[in-house]
Amino acid sequence: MPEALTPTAIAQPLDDYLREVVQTLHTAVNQGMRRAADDPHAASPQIADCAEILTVIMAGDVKEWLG
Amino acid sequence: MFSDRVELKDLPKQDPEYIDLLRRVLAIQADCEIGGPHLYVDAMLPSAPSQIDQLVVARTAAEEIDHFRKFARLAGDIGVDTAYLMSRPNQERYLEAFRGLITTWEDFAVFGFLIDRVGKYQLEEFAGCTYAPLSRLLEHPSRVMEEEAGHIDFGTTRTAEMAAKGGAARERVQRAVDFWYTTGLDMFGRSESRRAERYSFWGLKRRTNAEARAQYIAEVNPLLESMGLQVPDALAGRKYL
Repeated sequence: MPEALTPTAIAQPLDDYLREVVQTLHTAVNQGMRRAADDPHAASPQIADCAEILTVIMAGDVKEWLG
Repeated sequence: MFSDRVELKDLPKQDPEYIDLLRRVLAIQADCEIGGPHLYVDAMLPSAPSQIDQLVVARTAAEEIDHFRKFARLAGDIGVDTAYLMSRPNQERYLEAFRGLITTWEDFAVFGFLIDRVGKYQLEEFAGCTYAPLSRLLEHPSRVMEEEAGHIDFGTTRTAEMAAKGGAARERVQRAVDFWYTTGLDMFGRSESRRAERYSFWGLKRRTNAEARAQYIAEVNPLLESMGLQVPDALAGRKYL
Protein backbone atom coordinates (compact mmCIF):
# COMPACT_ATOMS: atom_id res chain seq x y z
CA MET A 1 0.00 0.00 0.00
CA PRO A 2 1.43 3.46 -0.87
CA GLU A 3 2.66 5.32 2.19
CA ALA A 4 0.05 8.06 1.79
CA LEU A 5 -2.71 5.48 2.20
CA THR A 6 -1.35 3.75 5.28
CA PRO A 7 -3.33 4.30 8.49
CA THR A 8 -2.22 7.21 10.64
CA ALA A 9 -0.51 6.34 13.90
CA ILE A 10 -3.31 7.78 16.00
CA ALA A 11 -6.27 6.43 14.02
CA GLN A 12 -6.82 3.52 16.41
CA PRO A 13 -5.95 5.20 19.75
CA LEU A 14 -8.06 8.27 18.99
CA ASP A 15 -10.95 6.02 18.01
CA ASP A 16 -10.60 4.08 21.28
CA TYR A 17 -10.31 7.21 23.39
CA LEU A 18 -13.32 8.96 21.87
CA ARG A 19 -15.42 5.80 22.02
CA GLU A 20 -14.85 5.68 25.78
CA VAL A 21 -15.59 9.39 26.17
CA VAL A 22 -18.85 9.10 24.26
CA GLN A 23 -19.89 6.11 26.35
CA THR A 24 -19.20 8.03 29.56
CA LEU A 25 -21.18 11.01 28.32
CA HIS A 26 -24.13 8.82 27.42
CA THR A 27 -24.06 7.21 30.85
CA ALA A 28 -24.12 10.62 32.53
CA VAL A 29 -26.90 11.87 30.24
CA ASN A 30 -29.04 8.79 30.82
CA GLN A 31 -28.62 9.00 34.59
CA GLY A 32 -29.45 12.69 34.46
CA MET A 33 -32.55 12.07 32.36
CA ARG A 34 -33.82 9.53 34.88
CA ARG A 35 -33.23 11.89 37.80
CA ALA A 36 -34.76 14.88 36.00
CA ALA A 37 -37.84 12.81 35.20
CA ASP A 38 -38.47 12.48 38.94
CA ASP A 39 -37.38 15.99 39.88
CA PRO A 40 -36.71 18.63 37.19
CA HIS A 41 -33.82 20.06 39.23
CA ALA A 42 -32.14 16.85 40.33
CA ALA A 43 -29.72 16.37 37.44
CA SER A 44 -27.12 18.98 38.41
CA PRO A 45 -24.36 16.45 39.21
CA GLN A 46 -24.77 14.69 35.87
CA ILE A 47 -24.82 17.98 33.99
CA ALA A 48 -21.64 19.01 35.82
CA ASP A 49 -20.03 15.70 34.78
CA CYS A 50 -21.00 16.30 31.16
CA ALA A 51 -19.64 19.85 31.30
CA GLU A 52 -16.35 18.64 32.71
CA ILE A 53 -15.92 15.99 30.01
CA LEU A 54 -17.00 18.28 27.19
CA THR A 55 -14.61 21.01 28.31
CA VAL A 56 -11.73 18.58 27.89
CA ILE A 57 -12.96 17.36 24.51
CA MET A 58 -13.65 20.83 23.15
CA ALA A 59 -10.11 21.85 24.13
CA GLY A 60 -9.01 19.15 21.71
CA ASP A 61 -5.57 18.46 23.17
CA VAL A 62 -5.28 15.11 21.46
CA LYS A 63 -1.58 14.65 22.22
CA GLU A 64 -2.23 14.98 25.94
CA TRP A 65 -5.14 12.51 25.83
CA LEU A 66 -3.16 9.89 24.02
CA GLY A 67 0.04 10.41 25.93
CA MET B 1 -19.62 6.78 -14.54
CA PHE B 2 -17.67 4.80 -12.00
CA SER B 3 -19.77 2.20 -10.22
CA ASP B 4 -17.33 -0.25 -8.59
CA ARG B 5 -17.58 -0.97 -4.91
CA VAL B 6 -14.17 -0.10 -3.51
CA GLU B 7 -12.94 -1.66 -0.27
CA LEU B 8 -10.03 -0.23 1.72
CA LYS B 9 -7.66 -2.86 0.40
CA ASP B 10 -8.51 -1.89 -3.19
CA LEU B 11 -7.97 1.83 -2.70
CA PRO B 12 -4.32 1.95 -3.80
CA LYS B 13 -5.40 0.67 -7.21
CA GLN B 14 -7.86 3.50 -7.75
CA ASP B 15 -7.45 6.64 -9.83
CA PRO B 16 -5.60 9.42 -7.94
CA GLU B 17 -8.57 11.74 -8.45
CA TYR B 18 -10.84 9.25 -6.72
CA ILE B 19 -8.47 9.01 -3.78
CA ASP B 20 -8.07 12.79 -3.56
CA LEU B 21 -11.82 13.37 -3.56
CA LEU B 22 -12.39 10.66 -0.98
CA ARG B 23 -9.74 12.09 1.32
CA ARG B 24 -11.20 15.54 0.92
CA VAL B 25 -14.81 14.57 1.57
CA LEU B 26 -13.92 12.56 4.68
CA ALA B 27 -11.95 15.47 6.12
CA ILE B 28 -14.78 17.91 5.41
CA GLN B 29 -17.38 15.61 6.95
CA ALA B 30 -15.24 15.10 10.06
CA ASP B 31 -14.85 18.87 10.32
CA CYS B 32 -18.61 19.39 10.12
CA GLU B 33 -19.32 16.73 12.76
CA ILE B 34 -17.00 18.23 15.37
CA GLY B 35 -17.80 21.77 14.23
CA GLY B 36 -21.33 21.51 15.64
CA PRO B 37 -20.41 20.97 19.31
CA HIS B 38 -17.83 23.75 19.01
CA LEU B 39 -20.67 26.09 18.06
CA TYR B 40 -23.01 25.45 20.96
CA VAL B 41 -21.53 23.53 23.90
CA ASP B 42 -19.92 26.48 25.68
CA ALA B 43 -23.00 28.69 25.73
CA MET B 44 -25.89 26.25 25.55
CA LEU B 45 -24.89 23.58 28.06
CA PRO B 46 -25.08 26.02 30.99
CA SER B 47 -27.99 28.11 29.68
CA ALA B 48 -30.52 25.75 28.08
CA PRO B 49 -34.04 26.42 29.43
CA SER B 50 -34.29 23.32 31.63
CA GLN B 51 -32.10 20.52 32.93
CA ILE B 52 -33.67 18.16 30.42
CA ASP B 53 -32.67 20.57 27.68
CA GLN B 54 -29.15 20.82 29.11
CA LEU B 55 -28.93 17.04 28.94
CA VAL B 56 -30.21 17.11 25.36
CA VAL B 57 -27.39 19.53 24.50
CA ALA B 58 -24.88 17.14 26.10
CA ARG B 59 -26.36 14.12 24.33
CA THR B 60 -26.37 15.92 20.98
CA ALA B 61 -22.72 16.86 21.47
CA ALA B 62 -21.87 13.27 22.46
CA GLU B 63 -23.51 11.94 19.31
CA GLU B 64 -21.74 14.46 17.08
CA ILE B 65 -18.41 13.62 18.73
CA ASP B 66 -19.15 9.97 17.99
CA HIS B 67 -19.90 10.81 14.35
CA PHE B 68 -16.60 12.69 14.21
CA ARG B 69 -14.90 9.61 15.64
CA LYS B 70 -16.35 7.43 12.90
CA PHE B 71 -15.39 9.76 10.05
CA ALA B 72 -11.99 10.44 11.60
CA ARG B 73 -11.40 6.69 11.68
CA LEU B 74 -12.34 6.28 8.03
CA ALA B 75 -10.01 9.17 7.18
CA GLY B 76 -7.24 7.89 9.44
CA ASP B 77 -7.41 4.46 7.82
CA ILE B 78 -6.43 6.04 4.49
CA GLY B 79 -3.71 8.25 5.93
CA VAL B 80 -5.65 11.46 6.60
CA ASP B 81 -5.00 12.81 10.07
CA THR B 82 -8.04 14.80 11.24
CA ALA B 83 -7.11 15.08 14.93
CA TYR B 84 -6.28 18.77 14.46
CA LEU B 85 -9.96 19.40 13.68
CA MET B 86 -10.80 18.82 17.33
CA SER B 87 -9.13 22.08 18.33
CA ARG B 88 -9.45 24.04 15.10
CA PRO B 89 -10.69 27.60 15.66
CA ASN B 90 -14.31 27.96 14.53
CA GLN B 91 -13.44 30.69 12.03
CA GLU B 92 -11.24 28.20 10.15
CA ARG B 93 -13.93 25.53 9.65
CA TYR B 94 -14.55 24.34 6.10
CA LEU B 95 -18.14 25.54 6.00
CA GLU B 96 -19.34 28.97 7.04
CA ALA B 97 -22.19 27.49 9.06
CA PHE B 98 -19.63 26.36 11.64
CA ARG B 99 -17.58 29.54 11.86
CA GLY B 100 -19.52 31.43 14.51
CA LEU B 101 -21.07 30.68 17.90
CA ILE B 102 -24.56 29.70 18.98
CA THR B 103 -25.55 31.69 22.03
CA THR B 104 -29.35 31.56 22.07
CA TRP B 105 -31.81 28.72 22.49
CA GLU B 106 -33.64 29.87 19.35
CA ASP B 107 -30.45 29.47 17.34
CA PHE B 108 -29.76 26.05 18.89
CA ALA B 109 -33.26 24.84 18.00
CA VAL B 110 -33.24 26.26 14.47
CA PHE B 111 -29.74 24.90 13.89
CA GLY B 112 -31.12 21.41 14.56
CA PHE B 113 -34.20 22.07 12.45
CA LEU B 114 -32.39 23.52 9.41
CA ILE B 115 -28.66 22.81 9.52
CA ASP B 116 -28.74 19.25 10.82
CA ARG B 117 -31.27 18.69 8.05
CA VAL B 118 -28.71 19.87 5.50
CA GLY B 119 -26.33 17.45 7.19
CA LYS B 120 -28.82 14.65 6.58
CA TYR B 121 -28.83 15.48 2.88
CA GLN B 122 -25.03 15.37 2.77
CA LEU B 123 -24.89 12.05 4.62
CA GLU B 124 -27.55 10.52 2.39
CA GLU B 125 -25.17 11.02 -0.52
CA PHE B 126 -22.80 8.46 0.94
CA ALA B 127 -25.29 5.63 1.43
CA GLY B 128 -24.67 3.38 -1.56
CA CYS B 129 -21.57 5.29 -2.66
CA THR B 130 -18.63 3.56 -4.30
CA TYR B 131 -16.36 3.57 -1.23
CA ALA B 132 -17.76 0.64 0.69
CA PRO B 133 -16.52 1.52 4.21
CA LEU B 134 -18.16 4.95 3.91
CA SER B 135 -21.33 3.54 2.43
CA ARG B 136 -21.69 0.96 5.21
CA LEU B 137 -21.59 3.74 7.82
CA LEU B 138 -24.67 5.38 6.31
CA GLU B 139 -26.65 2.46 4.91
CA HIS B 140 -29.91 1.62 6.62
CA PRO B 141 -30.00 0.89 9.50
CA SER B 142 -27.43 3.54 10.32
CA ARG B 143 -26.91 4.79 13.84
CA VAL B 144 -25.43 8.02 12.47
CA MET B 145 -28.53 8.67 10.38
CA GLU B 146 -30.86 7.78 13.25
CA GLU B 147 -29.06 10.17 15.59
CA GLU B 148 -29.10 12.96 13.02
CA ALA B 149 -32.82 12.39 12.59
CA GLY B 150 -33.20 12.81 16.35
CA HIS B 151 -31.38 16.15 16.26
CA ILE B 152 -33.57 17.34 13.39
CA ASP B 153 -36.74 16.22 15.16
CA PHE B 154 -35.80 17.95 18.41
CA GLY B 155 -34.91 21.15 16.57
CA THR B 156 -38.08 21.08 14.51
CA THR B 157 -40.30 20.49 17.54
CA ARG B 158 -38.69 23.24 19.59
CA THR B 159 -38.77 25.69 16.70
CA ALA B 160 -42.48 25.01 16.19
CA GLU B 161 -43.16 25.43 19.92
CA MET B 162 -41.42 28.79 20.04
CA ALA B 163 -43.15 29.97 16.87
CA ALA B 164 -46.52 28.94 18.33
CA LYS B 165 -46.01 31.26 21.30
CA GLY B 166 -46.31 34.24 18.96
CA GLY B 167 -45.17 37.78 19.77
CA ALA B 168 -41.56 38.31 20.74
CA ALA B 169 -40.86 34.58 20.89
CA ARG B 170 -41.93 34.16 17.28
CA GLU B 171 -39.90 37.21 16.23
CA ARG B 172 -36.79 35.76 17.84
CA VAL B 173 -37.23 32.40 16.16
CA GLN B 174 -37.96 34.09 12.82
CA ARG B 175 -34.66 35.95 13.08
CA ALA B 176 -32.88 32.66 13.69
CA VAL B 177 -34.67 31.10 10.71
CA ASP B 178 -33.73 34.04 8.49
CA PHE B 179 -30.05 33.50 9.30
CA TRP B 180 -29.85 29.70 9.24
CA TYR B 181 -32.06 29.23 6.17
CA THR B 182 -29.68 31.28 4.04
CA THR B 183 -26.66 29.62 5.63
CA GLY B 184 -28.17 26.20 5.02
CA LEU B 185 -28.85 26.84 1.34
CA ASP B 186 -25.24 27.94 0.88
CA MET B 187 -24.01 24.71 2.48
CA PHE B 188 -25.03 22.79 -0.63
CA GLY B 189 -22.36 24.64 -2.62
CA ARG B 190 -22.45 26.24 -6.02
CA SER B 191 -24.97 24.87 -8.50
CA GLU B 192 -22.32 24.88 -11.24
CA SER B 193 -19.60 23.11 -9.31
CA ARG B 194 -16.96 21.22 -11.26
CA ARG B 195 -15.90 19.35 -8.13
CA ALA B 196 -19.47 18.23 -7.46
CA GLU B 197 -19.57 16.79 -10.97
CA ARG B 198 -16.42 14.82 -10.25
CA TYR B 199 -17.85 13.48 -6.98
CA SER B 200 -20.85 12.35 -8.97
CA PHE B 201 -18.68 10.81 -11.73
CA TRP B 202 -16.77 8.76 -9.17
CA GLY B 203 -19.93 7.66 -7.42
CA LEU B 204 -19.07 9.41 -4.17
CA LYS B 205 -22.22 11.54 -4.37
CA ARG B 206 -25.50 10.96 -6.17
CA ARG B 207 -27.22 14.32 -6.49
CA THR B 208 -25.92 17.56 -7.90
CA ASN B 209 -25.72 20.49 -5.51
CA ALA B 210 -28.68 22.12 -7.21
CA GLU B 211 -30.82 18.97 -7.00
CA ALA B 212 -30.12 18.47 -3.31
CA ARG B 213 -30.79 22.13 -2.55
CA ALA B 214 -34.08 22.07 -4.48
CA GLN B 215 -35.22 18.96 -2.57
CA TYR B 216 -34.26 20.61 0.72
CA ILE B 217 -36.28 23.73 -0.14
CA ALA B 218 -39.25 21.57 -1.08
CA GLU B 219 -39.02 19.82 2.31
CA VAL B 220 -38.36 22.84 4.52
CA ASN B 221 -40.61 25.54 3.10
CA PRO B 222 -43.89 23.75 3.90
CA LEU B 223 -42.60 23.08 7.43
CA LEU B 224 -41.88 26.78 7.96
CA GLU B 225 -45.30 27.70 6.61
CA SER B 226 -47.00 25.16 8.87
CA MET B 227 -45.27 26.81 11.85
CA GLY B 228 -46.61 30.20 10.79
CA LEU B 229 -43.11 31.42 9.99
CA GLN B 230 -42.12 33.37 6.90
CA VAL B 231 -40.06 31.56 4.31
CA PRO B 232 -36.97 33.71 3.70
CA ASP B 233 -35.99 34.74 0.19
CA ALA B 234 -33.98 31.82 -1.17
CA LEU B 235 -31.60 34.14 -3.00
CA ALA B 236 -31.15 37.02 -0.55
CA GLY B 237 -27.77 37.07 1.19
CA ARG B 238 -26.55 33.93 -0.56
CA LYS B 239 -22.84 33.50 -1.24
CA TYR B 240 -22.89 30.29 -3.27
CA LEU B 241 -25.52 30.22 -5.99
